[in-house]
Amino acid sequence: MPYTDLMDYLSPYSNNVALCTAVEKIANVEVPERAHYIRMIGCELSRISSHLLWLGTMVMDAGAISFFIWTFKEREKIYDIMDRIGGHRFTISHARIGGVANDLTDEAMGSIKEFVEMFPKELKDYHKLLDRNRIFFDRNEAVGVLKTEDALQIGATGPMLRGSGFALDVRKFSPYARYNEVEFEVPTRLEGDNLARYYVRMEEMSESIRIIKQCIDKLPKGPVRTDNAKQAYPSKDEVYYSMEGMIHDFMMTDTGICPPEGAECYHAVESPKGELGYYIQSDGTGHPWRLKINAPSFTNLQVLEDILDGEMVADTVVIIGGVDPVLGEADK
Amino acid sequence: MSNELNLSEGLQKTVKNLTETFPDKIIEVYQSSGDTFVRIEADSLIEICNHLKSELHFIYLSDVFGIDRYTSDERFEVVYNLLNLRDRVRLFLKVRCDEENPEVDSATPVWKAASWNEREVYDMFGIQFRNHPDHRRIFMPEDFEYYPLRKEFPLLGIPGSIELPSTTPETD
Repeated sequence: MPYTDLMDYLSPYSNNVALCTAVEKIANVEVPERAHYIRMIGCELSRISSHLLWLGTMVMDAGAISFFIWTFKEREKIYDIMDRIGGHRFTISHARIGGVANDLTDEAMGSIKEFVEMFPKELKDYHKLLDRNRIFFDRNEAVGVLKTEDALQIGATGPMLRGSGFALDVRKFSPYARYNEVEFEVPTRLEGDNLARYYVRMEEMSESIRIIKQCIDKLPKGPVRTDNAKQAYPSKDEVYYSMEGMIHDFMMTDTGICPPEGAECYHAVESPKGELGYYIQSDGTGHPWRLKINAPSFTNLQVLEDILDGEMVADTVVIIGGVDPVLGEADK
Repeated sequence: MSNELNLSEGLQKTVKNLTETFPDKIIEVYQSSGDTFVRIEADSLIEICNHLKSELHFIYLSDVFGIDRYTSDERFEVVYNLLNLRDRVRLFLKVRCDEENPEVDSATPVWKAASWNEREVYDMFGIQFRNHPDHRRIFMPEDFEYYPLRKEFPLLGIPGSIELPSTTPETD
């Protein structure tokens, strides 16, 4: 689990959830309702955090340095929230197989609510600054154009594909967690240039806020981890105070969850960069026989070859900024 | 065969169409944890890919990866992860190849997206892709002699196979 944090280090939460959901799918682990909603809140927060970093660096690439500091101010708030949720600012590792590590405290809940209230105002300010900004427009409009057919052919994913006019979102394509129970739009633009990607990501952030609000409203009461000690770690209370709990904890660490022999599964989530999928093939032990990560940054980097062709050298920086690759993930 | 499977409507159509069009090329269709896998003969891969793309709307290729089955015959497996965006269907296409001289036709002419993924499979398993436009390693250095994801490759790596920067400061 901690390894997945470091893959796309801008949105560790989605990576945790992606691996957990894949293992849960192959091993038939039931996840409690409340854990699903907590995961969704975490995923959307990390989506905002990742898009904020992209926004800051991309605008910095286009020439506005101070903007970077402003988006980092908001990212800092998300880190604080993550700290309150899971005890870590950066590498959270909060999701567990069969649920999440711990319930949201009142303090964490309060800071999430506060953030959800405050952030749309900040977002409006960003729009005010950039939407009518001559320099920003000139740098981004009609730069790095990717047509819809080309985008599908080359397999672009996430905001890249949606900026090129195809609304493919794994949250809608095959809903995981409880994404089928919340309402949200999939922002799509037809132009396929860098500006379109900017709009798509900006709108995705406000959609994320919308999802988080709905999750907070719907958040059901109940356990946050499945109560089957053969399938998930027992809670720490149990481990410290009962013999069985400790044995189960030890067994989980030592052997792990054993899916049926020969079982295969693929599960994808919509990470901020696009479709992040895990393929697992089991040989019946606690270690997978083959685990393949389908990383969105790797997929999107392939697009660069196409869209950089014929562009000005000065624009390459902005285009790479618009693709938003994270090399930790592309390297797997 | 497809009666035993619990398929969604879109998948049912796809599997039926495939088994009718290529009756002797489909080796097996099976499901595992809710995903559908179709294993086909390696020699008709491009034909089936073209059919899937043009007739059955599998226009989006999400991923290609290899599996080392570590068996004596047909050791390697290449899996294509395909999406049908119209019917919301995900299908996995599998081909197998032998350990001696592993070769598979490249799907890059059909889906351009396969290019880097196939290079990764080549890099990690040493499976050659015929007609690949840019057949080079993608992660490891060009002169690396091994294929790291084959099961016989030691977990700790082979000492001396990659030149690493020295960890001790040079003393003159």
